[in-house]
Amino acid sequence: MAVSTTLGTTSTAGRATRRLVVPRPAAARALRRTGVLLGSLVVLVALWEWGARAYGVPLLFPGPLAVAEAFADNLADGTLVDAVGASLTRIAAGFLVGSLAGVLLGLLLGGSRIAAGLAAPLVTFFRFVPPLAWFGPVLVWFGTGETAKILLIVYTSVFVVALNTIEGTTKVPRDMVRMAGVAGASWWQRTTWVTLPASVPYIAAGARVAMGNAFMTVVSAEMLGASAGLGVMVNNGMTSTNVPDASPRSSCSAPSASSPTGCSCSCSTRSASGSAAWAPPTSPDPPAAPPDRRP
Amino acid sequence: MTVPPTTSAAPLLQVRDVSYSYRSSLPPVMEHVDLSIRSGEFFVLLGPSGCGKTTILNQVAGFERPTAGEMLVAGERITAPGPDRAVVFQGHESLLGWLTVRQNVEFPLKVAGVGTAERRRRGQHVLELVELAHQADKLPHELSGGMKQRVQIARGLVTDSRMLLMDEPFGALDAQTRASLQLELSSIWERERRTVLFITHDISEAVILADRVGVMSAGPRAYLHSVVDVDLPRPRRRGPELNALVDRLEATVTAAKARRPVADLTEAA
Amino acid sequence: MSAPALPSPITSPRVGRALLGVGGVALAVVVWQAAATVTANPLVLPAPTEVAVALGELVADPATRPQVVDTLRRAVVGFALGAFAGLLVGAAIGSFRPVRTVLNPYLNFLRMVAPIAWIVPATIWLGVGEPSILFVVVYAALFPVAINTISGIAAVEPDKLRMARAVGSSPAGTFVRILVPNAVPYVMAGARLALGLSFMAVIGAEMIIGQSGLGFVIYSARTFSDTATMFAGILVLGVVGYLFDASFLALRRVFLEKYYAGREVR
Repeated sequence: MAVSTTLGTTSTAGRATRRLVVPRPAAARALRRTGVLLGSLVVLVALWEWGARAYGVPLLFPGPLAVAEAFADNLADGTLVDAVGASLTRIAAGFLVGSLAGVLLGLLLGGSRIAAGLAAPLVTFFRFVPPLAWFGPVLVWFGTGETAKILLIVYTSVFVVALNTIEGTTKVPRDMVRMAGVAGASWWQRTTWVTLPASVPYIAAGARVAMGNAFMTVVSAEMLGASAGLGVMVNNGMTSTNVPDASPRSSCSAPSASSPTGCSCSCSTRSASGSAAWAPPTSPDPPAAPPDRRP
Repeated sequence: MTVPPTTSAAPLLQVRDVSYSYRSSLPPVMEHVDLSIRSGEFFVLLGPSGCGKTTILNQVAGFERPTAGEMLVAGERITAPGPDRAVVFQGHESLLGWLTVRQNVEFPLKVAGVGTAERRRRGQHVLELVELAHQADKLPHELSGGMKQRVQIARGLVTDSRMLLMDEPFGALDAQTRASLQLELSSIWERERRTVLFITHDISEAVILADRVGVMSAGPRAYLHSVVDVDLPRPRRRGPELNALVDRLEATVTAAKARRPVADLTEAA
Repeated sequence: MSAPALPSPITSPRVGRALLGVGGVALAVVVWQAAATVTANPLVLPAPTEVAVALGELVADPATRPQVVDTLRRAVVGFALGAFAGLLVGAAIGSFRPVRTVLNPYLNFLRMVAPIAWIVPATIWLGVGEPSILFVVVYAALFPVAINTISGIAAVEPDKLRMARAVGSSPAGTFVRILVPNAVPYVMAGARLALGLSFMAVIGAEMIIGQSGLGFVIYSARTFSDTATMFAGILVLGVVGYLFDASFLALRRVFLEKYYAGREVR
C-alpha cells in the first residue's frame, strides 16, 4: 500500500525528468508558464491598442497607452491611492465584521437542528436579495455615512460564511463529537475545541468567497453613493465623459440620491483636489477604461 | 521486432532487464528484472512495500515506462495501454459511479464499439461468472467492497484481453471477504484460463492463487529474487499441505528481504 | 436536541423540516411586525401589511408587473448564456493544457473583477439598454461555472483515466464518457452559485442604468422615499430567488441524481 502512495506522489516528477533532464522541473515549468503569460500579455495589449486606434475615439474606447497614462496621472496626484485606501478600509471592516458574525451564526445554526430548520428558508431568501437592494433602506436607517456602506459589505459576507460554517459543522467526524461528549465537554467546550477547529477549512473557503463579494459590493455601493473610493472614480469618469447616452442614470445618480450630504459634492472635492481630468467634459482622459485593471 | 524463442509454451509476457528510478538522481527502485509469463498462467508477483511490484504492473499495463529494459506482450513491445491488457485496480475509484453495475461491466465493450445485443450477452455472462447478475442494476456505491472488486473482475474479463493485470485487488478487504474472493477468483480462472499477473504482499494469497510466484527483494535496487512453482490441486483450501508451502515461501520471502539466496525450493532467478 | 419534536412515523424528517421552515418565516414576520409597531414610522420601517399592499401593486398591477418580468427575463437569459459560455470555457481550459497555460491567468484575473464594474464600459460600447445589462449578467454567471468545470475535470480520479486508457478509449471518448459525467456535480454547484450572482448583477445593473425592472423600481422608490415599495421589491427578489433555487435542486434531483451517487460534492 505504501508503494502505491509513493508512486502517486512522485510519478509526475518522474515524467518531467524523462522529458528533459533539468535539476528542478517545477522551476522550469514556472518559468515557461511565466514566459507564455508575458507573451500572451504582449499580444493582448497590442491587439487592444490596435483595436482602440481602429475605433478612433479614445474617449469611448481608450487604448492601453491612454489607460496607462490615466493610471499614472491618478497615481501621481494621489487620487488613486485615496480611492484605493477608502475602498480597502470599507472592505476590511465589513469583511471582518461580516465573517465573524457569519461564523457565530453558522455555529449556532449548525449546533441546533431546530434553529437550522427555522432559519433555512430565511437564509436562502437573503442569499438572493442582492446587497444593492438594501441600499435604500440602509440609507434611510443609517444615513449616507460609512456605516451604511460597511453594513452592506457585512451583509454580503455574513451569509456565505454562515452557510459554509454550517456545512463545516455537519462534516465534523461523528466520532470526534462523541469523543468530546464522552470526555464530558459542555456544549461551549465542544463547540470551541472541536467543532470550530474542525470546520476551519470550510470557514476559510466561505471567507474567500465573502472577500470576493465584498469587492463587488464596494464598487457598486460607491457608484450609487459615496464620496470616495474606486466606485466613485469609475462613476466620475463615466459622468465626465458627458456622452449623453452613456450614463443618463448614473450621471443623475449622485444628486438624485435624495440625500442632503450625498455624493454630488464628491465630484467637486475630487476636481478641487487637483486632477482637472475628472471635471471638464473635453478631457482627453480615458474614463471608459476598465477601472478594475488598476488595483 | 525481436522474435521470442519458440518453445511449446511460448511466453506471453516478457520482461527483459527492466530497471526503474523515479528520478535520475535517486537510486533505482528496482533493477535488472527478468521475467516471463506463459500464456494461460496465473503468475503472482510477491514482495514487500516499496519493491516496485506495482511499478512493474503499471509498466506492463503501459501506464508507465521502464527507465531501462523492455517489456513485450506476444512479442510486441509495450508502449501504451491497450485493450489486450485488462486491469483490476486496488481501489474502486475506477468504477464509474453514475453507471449501473451492468453498464460498468459493459464499458470496455462500449468503448470498443460492440453492439448492444452482443454487449448484453457478454456482460451477462461475466456478471453470472462473478455472481453479480442479481445486482446488475445497482449503482457501485450501493455495493460492498468485495462486490465492487467482483465488478472490476467482471469488467476485466468481459473483453477477449490477452492478460488480466491485478494490483492487490483484495488488499483493502476484510479477511473473510478476501478468503472467499480468493477461492472464487481461483475457480473463475480455472474456467476462463486467462493469463493473470497478480500483485500482492500476502504470502498465503500467493500460494492459494498462483501457478508460479515471483518473489521480489526489498527496494531500493530491488530485484527478482526467485520464482517458486506452486504445484497444488485447486481449489486450494487451508490445510497442512498448503500451510507447509506457505511456511517455505515465507522463508524465501525472508531471505529475499535480506537479499540472500535460499537453497531450498528455489530456482535462482 | 433532535429527540423531542418528531418521533411520530407520520411526520417524516422532510415534513418536520418544512414545518420548522414555515415556523421560522412566521417568527420573522412577527418580529418584523413588532419592530414596525415600535418604530411606528412607515418611512423607516413599513409594517408587513403595508408591504403586502405595495407587493400587491407591484405584482398584480398590469402596469408594473412587466418590471418583475423584465428582471426575471434578464436574469434567466443572462444566466443561461453565461453558464453555457462558462461551461465551454471551463471545459476547454480544463481539458487542454496549452489552453490552460494561456487562458488561466486571465480567467483568474477577470473573475476577481466585480461584474457591475463593467457596466460603465458596457454602456459605452453597447449603449444604455438591454445588451449592457445582459452583458453584466452573463459576466457574473460565467466565472463560477467555468471555475467549477475546471475543478470538476481536475477532480477526476487517476484510476478512472487509467481504466479508460487501458480499455482503449480515445481522448474524445474519455472526455465524453468520463470527464463530463464526473464533473456534473461540480458544474451544477457552480451553476447554482451563478444563479444567485445573476440576480445580484441584474439588480445592480438595473439600479444604475435600467429603465425598467425590479432594480429600477427599488431605486425609484428610494428617490420617492417609498420604503414599502422598496421592501416589496426585496420580497419579490428573495421569494423568486428561493423558488428558483428550490426548482434548481428539484430538477437536479430528478434528472442528475445518479451523478451524485456516493459522492461528497454537494
